[in-house]
Amino acid sequence: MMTKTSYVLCALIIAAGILCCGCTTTTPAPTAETRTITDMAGNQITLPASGATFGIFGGPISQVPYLLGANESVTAVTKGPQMMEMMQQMDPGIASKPAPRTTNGNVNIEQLLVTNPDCVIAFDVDGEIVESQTDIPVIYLSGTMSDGFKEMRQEIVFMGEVFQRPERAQAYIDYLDETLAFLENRTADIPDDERITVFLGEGVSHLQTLGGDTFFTEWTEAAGCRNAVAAIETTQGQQEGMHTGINEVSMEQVLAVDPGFIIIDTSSPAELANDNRWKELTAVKEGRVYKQPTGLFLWSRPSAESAVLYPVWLAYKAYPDRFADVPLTDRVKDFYTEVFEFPITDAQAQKVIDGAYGSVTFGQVQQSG
Amino acid sequence: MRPKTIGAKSAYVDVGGAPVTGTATTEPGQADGRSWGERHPGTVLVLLLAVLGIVAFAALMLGRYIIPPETVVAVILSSVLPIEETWSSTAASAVVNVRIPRIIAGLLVGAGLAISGASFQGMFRNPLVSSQILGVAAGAGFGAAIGILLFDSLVVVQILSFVFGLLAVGMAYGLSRVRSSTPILMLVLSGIVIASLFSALTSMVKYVADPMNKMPAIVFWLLGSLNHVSTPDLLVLGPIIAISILGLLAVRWRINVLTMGDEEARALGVNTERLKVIIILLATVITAAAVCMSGIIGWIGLVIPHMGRMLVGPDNRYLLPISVLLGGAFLIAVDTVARTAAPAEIPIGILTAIIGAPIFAILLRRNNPGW
Repeated sequence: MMTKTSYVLCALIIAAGILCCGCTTTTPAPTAETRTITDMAGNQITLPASGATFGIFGGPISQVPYLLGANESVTAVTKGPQMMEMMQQMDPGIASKPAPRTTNGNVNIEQLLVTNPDCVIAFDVDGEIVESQTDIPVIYLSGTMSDGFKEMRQEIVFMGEVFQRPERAQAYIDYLDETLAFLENRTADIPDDERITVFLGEGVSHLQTLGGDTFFTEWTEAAGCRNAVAAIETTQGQQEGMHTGINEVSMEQVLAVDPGFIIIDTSSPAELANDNRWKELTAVKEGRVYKQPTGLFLWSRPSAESAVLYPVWLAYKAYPDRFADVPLTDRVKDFYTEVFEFPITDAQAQKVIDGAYGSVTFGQVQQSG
Repeated sequence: MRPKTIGAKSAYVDVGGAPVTGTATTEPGQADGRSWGERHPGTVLVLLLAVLGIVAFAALMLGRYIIPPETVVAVILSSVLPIEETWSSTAASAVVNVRIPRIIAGLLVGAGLAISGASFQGMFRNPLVSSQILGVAAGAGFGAAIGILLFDSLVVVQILSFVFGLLAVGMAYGLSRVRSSTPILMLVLSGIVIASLFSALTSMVKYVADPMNKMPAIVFWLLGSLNHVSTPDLLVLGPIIAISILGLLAVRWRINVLTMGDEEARALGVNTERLKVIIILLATVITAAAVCMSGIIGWIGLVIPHMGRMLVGPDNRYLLPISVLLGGAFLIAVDTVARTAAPAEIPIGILTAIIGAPIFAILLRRNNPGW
C-alpha cells in the first residue's frame, strides 16, 4: 500500500541514483585521456590527462602550485596559508576558496566533497582521513620537519610532475642552488669558531625551538651560521594539533649555549633586553635579536620560500659586511618576482624582512607571533 | 560518600581549635586506631620542613647550566657578604634570575595548588575534587589562549588568564546559587558545566587560531611549565599566592566544621555561606595566579592532600600546613627532573601525571584513612 509520500520518496531515490551515475561517468577510465602518477609513498594514481583539479592539504606545501604557476587548478586549500596576509596579496582569490583542511588531522569531509577535486595532495595523516572517508584519490607526499634541501628539491620536482610544470620546478631548483652557492661563496672563509650561533626562540616564552634534527639546522648552516641547539633533538614526541620538531628548552639551556644571534616570533627584541634572564646573553648584549620574517607562510617551516630566503636573510643579518654590495630588499624582491612571478614593492620586501606580515584572523590582520 | 567514617573521624576533631595531640597524653598506642603521624603531626610538620629544605637546596645545585655547588653558594652569599666575583655574570644570572625564581615559583605553585585542593576536598566533602572543579583552570586556559591568539605580549596573556579564571569561578558560583545558599551538589555541577564551556571555547580558539603559528604557543601554554617564570612575575603573583595560602591556613579549623555538613556547621554557629565564599575565593585566586605563572599543572591539588592524609590523617588543622609543605617539595622535585633530565624540557604535566597517577592508585587500594 504505497502512499503518495512513498511515491515521492521513491522518485527521489531514483533521481538520486541517476545523479550518482552521472557522477561516476566523469571518473576517468584508464584510456589515452588519463595519466598515471606514482606518488611519494609509491602508490599509482590516475588523473585526467589535463585540467585536473586539486585539493592541497598542508601549510608549507600550499605555496608550491603558485611557484609552478598552476594555482588555478587548486580548488580546495588549507586554512593556515589561506589566512596569511601576503598570500592574500599575491592571490586575493584564495580567501574565497573552500578550506576543508585546518590543522594537521582536521579535515572537513563534507566541505571537501562539495568541492570534489580530482585528487587531494596530502601528507600521511590528512591523506589517510581523505582516503578512508571519501573516494577522492590521494597523492601522498612524504615530508617531516627533518627534511633539508635535498628533500625540498625532491618535493618540488614531484610537484612539478603532478602539476605538469617540470620547467618551473627546475627553475626553482636552479634558483635555490644558485642562492646556496652564492651564500657558500660569501661565507666559506669564516672559521668554524667564528661562525655565529643562532637560537630560534618561538612562542611567548621564546623558548620553543627547532633542534639539531630539524631542517632549521641546515638552513642556518647554509647562511654560514650554526644552530645553537644543534646538539638537542626536538623531533621526538608529538603534541596534538602541532607539528613535531618544535620543542621547548629550559632558560638555563639557552644561558648554557649563549647564542650570538636570537630570532623571536613574538613580542619585540626590546622585551629580551629588559628581561634580566635574557639580558646577559651575548646576542642580547650585542643587539642581535631579530624578529623572524614572515612571507607567504611562516619561515620557521620547511617551505620553498624559507629554503631560499631564510638563509639569505640570516646571512645578511649575521654578516652584514659580507653582503654590502646588494641590498637585502633587492634579493627579496627578486625572489618573489622570479620564482612566484609576484612583483613586490620595496615596502613589501621590507615588511617581509621585518617580520611585519601577519595572518588574517576574524578579518583583521594579526601580527605573526 | 562515607558519612559514617566522617562522623567517626570528626568526633575527635576538637572544633574549638585546641590541639588534639595535646590531650592524648596517655599514649594508648594503637588503642584509638590512629597512626604515629596522626598522633605527632607537629613532628611530621618539622620533618617535612626539613625535606622541603633539602629538596630546594638540591634543586638549587642542579641545572642544564653547569655551575659548581660552591659557586652557587658563593653567588647567593655574595649578595650579603663581600665575596670576590670569580664567576661569570651569566652564571650569576642563571642562579639569581633563572634558578631561584623557578624554585620559589615551584614552591608557591605546588603549595598553593595542594592547599587549595585540600580545602576544596574538605569543603566539598569529596576526596575526588581539586581546586579546578569550579572551572578556574579551564577559564584561565581560555583567557591565555585568546591572549596568545589576539595579543603579542606575555603580560596581556597573563592578565587575561587571571581574569578569565576568576570569571569562570564567578559564573559557576552564580549558577549554583539557590535561594541565597550554594548547595555542594549544585556547586560541583555548575563547576562541571562552566569548565566544559570554557574547554570548548578553548578548543574553538584553537580551531580559529592561525593553526601554524599560534597553535604551538597555545598548546605549550596549556601543557604547563615553570620554564617561563621571571622575577617580575614572582614579584606580582608571588605575594598574591602567599597571602591566599595564609588566608586558607587561617580558616583551616573552620573547614573541619564544614566537613560535618552545612546544617551541623550552622548549628555550631559557623556562617557556612560566608566561609564557602572565602574558601572558594582564596583557592581560586591561588589557582588562577598559578595558571598565569605556569600554565595548567594537574594532579597536585588532587594527590598531595591524599598523601598528607596518609601522614597526619584528615584533621584539616594539620592537613593544610602539611599539604603546603608536601606540595611545595613535590613540585620543586618534579620540576627539577623536568628541567634537568633531558636536553629539552619535559612537560611538567606529563611528569606529575606519571608520578601522581600510580600514587593515587596505591592510595585507592590502601585502607582508606578517611577524609
